[in-house]
Amino acid sequence: MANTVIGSTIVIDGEITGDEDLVIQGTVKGRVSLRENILVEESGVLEANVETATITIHGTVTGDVHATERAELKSNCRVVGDIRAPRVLIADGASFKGSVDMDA
Amino acid sequence: MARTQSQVVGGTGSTVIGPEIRVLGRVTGEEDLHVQGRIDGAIALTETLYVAAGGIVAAEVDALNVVVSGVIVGNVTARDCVTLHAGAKLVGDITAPRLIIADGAAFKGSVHMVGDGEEASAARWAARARPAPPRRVAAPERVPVPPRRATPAHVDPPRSPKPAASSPTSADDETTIIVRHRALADGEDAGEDTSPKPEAADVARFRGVAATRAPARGAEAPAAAKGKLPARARIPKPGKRRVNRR
Amino acid sequence: MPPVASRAPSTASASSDTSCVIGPKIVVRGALSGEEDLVVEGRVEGRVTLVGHLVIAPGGSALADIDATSVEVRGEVRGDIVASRSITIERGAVVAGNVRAPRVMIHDGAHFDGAIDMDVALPDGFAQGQARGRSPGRSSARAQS
Repeated sequence: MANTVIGSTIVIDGEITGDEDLVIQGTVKGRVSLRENILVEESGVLEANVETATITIHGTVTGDVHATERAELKSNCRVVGDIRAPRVLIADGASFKGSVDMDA
Repeated sequence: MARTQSQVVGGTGSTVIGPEIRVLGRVTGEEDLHVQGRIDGAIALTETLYVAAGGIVAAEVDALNVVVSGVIVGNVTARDCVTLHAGAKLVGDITAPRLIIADGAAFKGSVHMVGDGEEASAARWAARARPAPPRRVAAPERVPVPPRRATPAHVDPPRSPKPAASSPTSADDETTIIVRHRALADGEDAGEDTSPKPEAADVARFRGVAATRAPARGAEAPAAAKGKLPARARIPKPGKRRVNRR
Repeated sequence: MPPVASRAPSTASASSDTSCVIGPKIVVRGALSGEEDLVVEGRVEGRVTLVGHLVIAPGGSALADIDATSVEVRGEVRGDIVASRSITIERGAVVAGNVRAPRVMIHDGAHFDGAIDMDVALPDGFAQGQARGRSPGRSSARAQS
């Protein structure tokens, strides 16, 4: 199955929904609602509320994140917003501002 | 993981919207975009939009090229070429200098080909129209020229973006008349000055140019550009003219 | 307006295999109809109604509304074209007008200005009327059925 890649020069202003993995190298503003994995690469900018199974962030996320499985913030990422996930990993070097709720 | 997928698809700088993804909103970018899923909204790219066989784009599209094997519902503007492959369906208007519709594609909408091809074709059409055998009108040579819509060979290209659309296909009304203008018959028909259109001399005076210096051509463009003279005053080029008597 | 003399028969009677040709220096003005293939190398003005294959040759021109079984344009056409089978616009052709057929092919290098109407069966989720109504009316008249 082809994976969806939002390239680095792409800007999406709106809503993304689907049942696939998503790799974000560009900019997404709005809402993302998936049932699979999201990978926000270093160049990726996500200004959206996100609902997904798992999310791995290397880039910038501004918005609330709701992961039903796991949320990972790698080093050098910047996250501003609330995270709701049963498992949360924040690596050394990550920059995070917001609240974490692991009860969901 | 999914990180390597971008290289698999189209090399560096290529975005893929997978078959299970739906995007609702505005997509802009400076790279190729492959749509296998669905995009609703608007797409603006500096590169090529590919709509794969299962892809659906319900959006206004503006890209360099648009290559369709799937469905597009919306107006499409391409700076280079729009290609519809077999199985493609497009409902909307196309604006592009080049268009290719393969057998098996389905399209409904209008097509506007921009670029120098248009003026060239209009000029070609006018050139073709003239050599047709004229029907000599029994009337005298000085036939009052009715207000005439701009003909393609006449009008400056920037002023008439679509000369094609302005000429209806009612060939029955067309008549060929021979107009002898003062510019041609230098003083020969000095007495026959009953034509309603201002003479070359009048126009020349208006422009401050000597009347004998082939004013027809010179005065024509500035007069037309200035718009001060009434429509009738447009001096026709010497020679046979095709007049749409409406 | 009665057709001006040309080599094309106005109604079909020919049973020959070679198609009828309107030569390059012939101008036909009026209503041209027939039941065989026709090649236009000259100029046709008015209306063409043909049960057969119509070819506008590279030097040919038609300032006419055309109704034929199939149409192949290599020259110039100004007018509406309706075909029951297919319309092909080849490289180098110039067409200005509305075109309607189940199959329409436009080759690279063709110049086209007007509307194209093929019956498009859109997948579920699209209302054709809604899709059409969205686009602002373009200047070239769209003879939509």
